[in-house]
Amino acid sequence: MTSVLEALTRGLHAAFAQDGRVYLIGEDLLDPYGGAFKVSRGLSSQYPGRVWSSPVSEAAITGVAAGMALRGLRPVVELMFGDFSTLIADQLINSITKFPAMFNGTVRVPIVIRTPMGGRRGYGPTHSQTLEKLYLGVPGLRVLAPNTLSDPGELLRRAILEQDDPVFFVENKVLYPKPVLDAQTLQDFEIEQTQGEFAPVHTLRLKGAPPPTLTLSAYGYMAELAREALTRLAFEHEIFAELVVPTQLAPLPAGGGLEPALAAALQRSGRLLTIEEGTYSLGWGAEQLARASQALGPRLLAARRLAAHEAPIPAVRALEEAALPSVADILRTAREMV
Amino acid sequence: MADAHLIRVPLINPNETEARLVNLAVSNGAEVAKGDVLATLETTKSTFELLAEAQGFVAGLQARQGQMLAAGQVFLYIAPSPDWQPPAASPATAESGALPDGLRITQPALQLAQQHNIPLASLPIGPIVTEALISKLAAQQAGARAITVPEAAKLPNAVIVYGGGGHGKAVIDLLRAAGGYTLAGVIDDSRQPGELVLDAAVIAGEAALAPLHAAGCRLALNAVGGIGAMSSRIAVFERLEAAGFELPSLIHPSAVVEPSAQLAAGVHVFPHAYIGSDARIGQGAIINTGAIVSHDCELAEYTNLSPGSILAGNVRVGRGTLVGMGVTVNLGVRIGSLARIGNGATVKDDVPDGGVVRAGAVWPS
Repeated sequence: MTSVLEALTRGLHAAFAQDGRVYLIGEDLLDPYGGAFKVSRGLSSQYPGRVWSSPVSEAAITGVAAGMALRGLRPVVELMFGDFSTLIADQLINSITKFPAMFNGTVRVPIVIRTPMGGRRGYGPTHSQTLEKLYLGVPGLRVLAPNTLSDPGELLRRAILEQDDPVFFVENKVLYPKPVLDAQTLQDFEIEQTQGEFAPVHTLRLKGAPPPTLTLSAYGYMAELAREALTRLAFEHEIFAELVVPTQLAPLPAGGGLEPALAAALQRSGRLLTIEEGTYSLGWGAEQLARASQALGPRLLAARRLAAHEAPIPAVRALEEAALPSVADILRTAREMV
Repeated sequence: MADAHLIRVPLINPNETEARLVNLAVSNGAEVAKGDVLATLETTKSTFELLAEAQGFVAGLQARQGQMLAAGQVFLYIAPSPDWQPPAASPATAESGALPDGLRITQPALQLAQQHNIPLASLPIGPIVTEALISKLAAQQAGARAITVPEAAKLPNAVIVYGGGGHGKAVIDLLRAAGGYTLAGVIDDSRQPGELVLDAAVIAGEAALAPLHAAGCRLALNAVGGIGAMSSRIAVFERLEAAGFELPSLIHPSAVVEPSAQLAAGVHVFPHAYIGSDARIGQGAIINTGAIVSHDCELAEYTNLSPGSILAGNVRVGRGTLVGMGVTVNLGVRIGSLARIGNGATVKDDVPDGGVVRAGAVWPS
């Protein structure tokens, strides 16, 4: 059993081993602490001089990393919490993602900004948000969200070594202890993996199920809840659905098209329910539904979104659970749609 | 006798209700002193050493290194003596009515199956069993229960006629003229049991096939003509064969079939038809009243020659093709499968698979 956290750690170690230009900058990185969630554990012992524990200054961390990237290194930035990504917005939006175009294609900025995101930990309003939706519309920025259906560490390694443009790497913190799924755990499912522009898209359906009448789409930790809902919808309610799990959130296909795997699933079912942990309005799911509507027109029979309440994330566990989408929410909404 | 100390997994971090057991320093039976390290637990934010609260012997330890443990769950006991046994866990309630191995059935389907006493062992493995399937099986079961198998069906020469329409009447009369069989009854999915076709009673619909077969009935005649859609006639053949029935051929006494002609199973030859030398007739073909099949013709399975149609020598007719009344087909013509030749047409050259020749037309036009 490999946890997502272990896989990510392995990915970091692999990137460091393969390329001496890889550096890591962030707060509290040095062993034995190894970073706030311990993804970076062991790196500073094995690669002294290439892991820099920094003062609490996210903008400075990111700015220094940008300079390193411009000078030919491959820096990785660790933001302790995704909520602090707002402090790097100027670096990210006005510098890192603009330099290639502003300098007429003469420079690249190979930088990976890793950060834990999401709630369900009782960390309260300023440490539990799901803010990647703020960065989905930034041209030149790739946003990746690992899941348990393929190796998150390999995704991270490739993002660091094979990607010359900036990557915002969103690690849902509830996924950290979850196991990367194996064939045994997924034996009840047929899984189709299609290669997106950079990262895989997974389509799951139950083996032996009748033709699907609903498509669920979710990423990150929401994919875990959606997978559970897939099984319960089938066996408790005879609603047979497919689940499409993207790994890359942005950029989406050029020209406003749907991800091919999602388009194919919708051709089969005609109905789409997106599930995300960001707040309801102006988010990832809204874009999926807009594109689905454009692509399918009247063949899109029903379309709904599930997302977090539009309010600060409560610190009280019961209230936090109520504010975020649950399996029960998915079941209820799906039953209204079919 | 001092009591054992119960050691639970602590809540290390109020934000995380689980911790990973990253190091296990003891095993069952080991002696520990107060303050000894039992294990190291870790959450994403902190590391915690679990210390022995008393002197004694480790007992009831079940966790393995690397395992995720929930805060509050029993970790181990520190017992006063090495032979102390932890309280026995209550035996897990045996799952009532366990499902057969590999069966994947929805809850609504399971409830319905239990209501109708459908044995779970009879359900298919692989596809997810749905309520619709159970409903169908329940209806079949109810239908089968209500079916009265006629006594005549138990005779060795008993035969059933599937299809109670106009063609069904013709087949019944053909059966009686040909002789040698006992008509047990009619199967018809759209007629009520007891309804009469000529003087033969309808037994029931398709659901009657299984109890009839179980009673020993082995012979069946397909009396669905397929004029409107050949697929319905073919479907009946498939149902009868799947249910284990054999399909006798019938030849009306006034028909002429040359000794060298070969007829497959289930061919029906109606009054005043002629089948010529070395002709070969495929399974389930209908050679209707006054039709002429000349020498060396070959008819594939399920072809239907309507009354008065004429095939010259060496004509080939494909599977499931309908040749209308009064059609004339020239020497050596090949007609493809699932074609339709309209009444009164004259066919002078080959017709492709699925071809349609309009009534009264001369083909090619």
